[in-house]
Amino acid sequence: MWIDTPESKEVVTELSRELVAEIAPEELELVDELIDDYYANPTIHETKDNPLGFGSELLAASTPVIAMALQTLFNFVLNEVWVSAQKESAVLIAQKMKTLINPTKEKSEPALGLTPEQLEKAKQLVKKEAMRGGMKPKKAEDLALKIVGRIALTS
Amino acid sequence: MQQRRRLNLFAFPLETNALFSMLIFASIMLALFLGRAFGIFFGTPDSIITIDNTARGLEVTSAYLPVICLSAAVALAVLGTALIFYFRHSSEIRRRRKIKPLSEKDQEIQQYANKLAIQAGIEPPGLEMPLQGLRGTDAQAFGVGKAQIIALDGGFRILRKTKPDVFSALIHHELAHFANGDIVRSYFSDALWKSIQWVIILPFVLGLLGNVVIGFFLSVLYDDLLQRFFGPAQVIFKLLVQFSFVLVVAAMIWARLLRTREFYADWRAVLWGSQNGLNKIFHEQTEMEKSKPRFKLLKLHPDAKERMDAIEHPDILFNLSPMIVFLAGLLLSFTFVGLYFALSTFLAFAGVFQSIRDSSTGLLYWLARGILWFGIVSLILIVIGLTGWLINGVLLPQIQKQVVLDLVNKQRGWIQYMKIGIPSLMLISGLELGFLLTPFGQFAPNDLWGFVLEFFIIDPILILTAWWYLTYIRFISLRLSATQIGRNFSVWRSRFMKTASVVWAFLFFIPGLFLSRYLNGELLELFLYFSLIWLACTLLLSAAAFGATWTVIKLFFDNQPKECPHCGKVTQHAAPAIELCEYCGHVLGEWLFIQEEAQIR
Repeated sequence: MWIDTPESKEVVTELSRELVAEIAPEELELVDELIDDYYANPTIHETKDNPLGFGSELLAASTPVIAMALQTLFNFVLNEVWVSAQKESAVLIAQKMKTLINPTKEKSEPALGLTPEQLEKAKQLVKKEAMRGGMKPKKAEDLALKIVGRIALTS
Repeated sequence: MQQRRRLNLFAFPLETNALFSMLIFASIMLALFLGRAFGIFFGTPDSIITIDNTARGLEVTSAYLPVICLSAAVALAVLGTALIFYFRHSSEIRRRRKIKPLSEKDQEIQQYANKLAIQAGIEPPGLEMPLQGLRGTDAQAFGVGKAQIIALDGGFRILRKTKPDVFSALIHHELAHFANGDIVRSYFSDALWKSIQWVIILPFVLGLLGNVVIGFFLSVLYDDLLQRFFGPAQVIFKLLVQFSFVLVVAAMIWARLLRTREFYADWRAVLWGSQNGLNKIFHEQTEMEKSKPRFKLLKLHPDAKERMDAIEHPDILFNLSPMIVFLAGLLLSFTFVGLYFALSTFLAFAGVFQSIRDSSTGLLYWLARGILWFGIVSLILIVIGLTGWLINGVLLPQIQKQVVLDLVNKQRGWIQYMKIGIPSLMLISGLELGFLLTPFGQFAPNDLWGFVLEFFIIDPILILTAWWYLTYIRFISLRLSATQIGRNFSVWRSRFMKTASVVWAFLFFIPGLFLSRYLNGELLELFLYFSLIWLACTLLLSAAAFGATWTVIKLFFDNQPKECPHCGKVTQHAAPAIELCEYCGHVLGEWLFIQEEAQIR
């Protein structure tokens, strides 16, 4: 799976950094550390019902959640939009993914086109995943809109 | 930074302490109950339930002894197991959270926490974290003895850099648990609850199931046993209901203790300047929190919204809690049933000592006689002590806090006294429910006439006498609190309040409660006379006692010079405790308020 390749991690890190700059700029200096931690243990941090603990947990950092949401989005694109990509090389897919989400980058490859329905589905997927990772609904919506907005601009 | 006044929650006895004692009480009640329940399971139902307490001698002792020993053994086992769980809690937390003392790379976190602790005036704690990881923001204060340790999730490595106010708030909150001294009580309560599950619930359920299965099996095999099985089946069903009831009461106390400690810790963290950080956490949590259907009384943590409300309006922590009053009523009924238990136990052994006394002379005679009297006096003292504690340790602080709140909010007059009707109703409801559902309780009505008498005559009278008692302690609390100035609440005022409260309760409330338990059967007429005499005495003497108390307060407390502790000038305020000095502008009742460092952002 392309998702598990170093190229995928590189794309996720690069795009996460751009999104973190907009959504959680205070984490910008820590992005690499946070992404490494996320890849070391990609499972969601479970909040345990600890009667003698503080009792109200909040999200420590948005970066891992953004990375997780991007991975989910890439999975969606690869499985439902760009099915033929399974045969392509990891480097090519990485390039396509970068151009898909980054409208300002110079395009060496033609961007993938997502229909409005697919865009809506992608938005819902990203929002759901971000909330599952512990992001507030409003912030998750914001993240989803930012990502989908970028895709819409490239399509 | 600006300073503002905040009501001092610690000017009054801690609610967590009262709840802790209540939980121990309920646990011992459960242990006694299990002992008697097992007596029934193991075939001594008739001798235990229908035993003639007036009988004497070794026969009674032999019937009671196994149950007494079992009850005592279970009580000791519950407390002993709880102690083991308590001493193991540190290693258990370390194992579950996979934490270790901070490594070299995390020393900055330790230094920052040390700084916060020193600023707050407490001993710097040891911090422990997972060696790797950047997730999670839960923190947990723990430690046995003098050890003060805070377990942190890996996410604190990030929080310190990205959200320092949130980081400080969380550390402050955990430090507050040490400052409030609630670690031992919280972890012992938790251990007690675990111990109840293993030592009481499991054996009870197994014993009950075994009893039902064997009884049913035998009754199917032998027709003549069928009739005999239905009798115990009813007893067992009743036992199950009663057992569940006491268990739920213990769970409610445990849950309330855990919730209350969080409010107290938040309160102190705010005092140390962490209101913004805590608000951020609770605000985020409120947005995320899905409504949980869990019964509120059994919730182990307060909601983020409840905590936010308590931070923004800390006065709500001074409101009288009808639930605590209700629980006090329940435990009062447990005490009465406990008295019955204790008397039965005493009678069981008294038979032996009476036989020794009657058949001997000289030293042995006096020894046996002494033991008998010692037993009687000890039992009476235990019951009086427990009742006195429930009155002065649980009810009195509730009234005191509400009085102070009313005083600050300028809510005075007869309406405030009428409102005490609600806690009076809760107290008697707790008592009544306790009498109806306490295991092996002998004080519940057992026929229709008894229920009519109980609900339509006795209960209204008890509610009125409870209201009269609460009115009295509200009056004293108000008079003594309003005029108290200075840094500390006077020891003499406190002693006077407690003494007056307990004397009144034992003269004008408890006797009526006690007598009302015997208004049935053959003793109805006798106890009716006693009850009427007590009621008449209460009506006449309580008014006189009220007047006498007022006079004492006027003579000995109101007359004390009201000098401002700062400028030394005499203030003219009628209720100086809540006022500022008219000459120098300082707080007069320093015992009641605390300076808060509010951060301006």
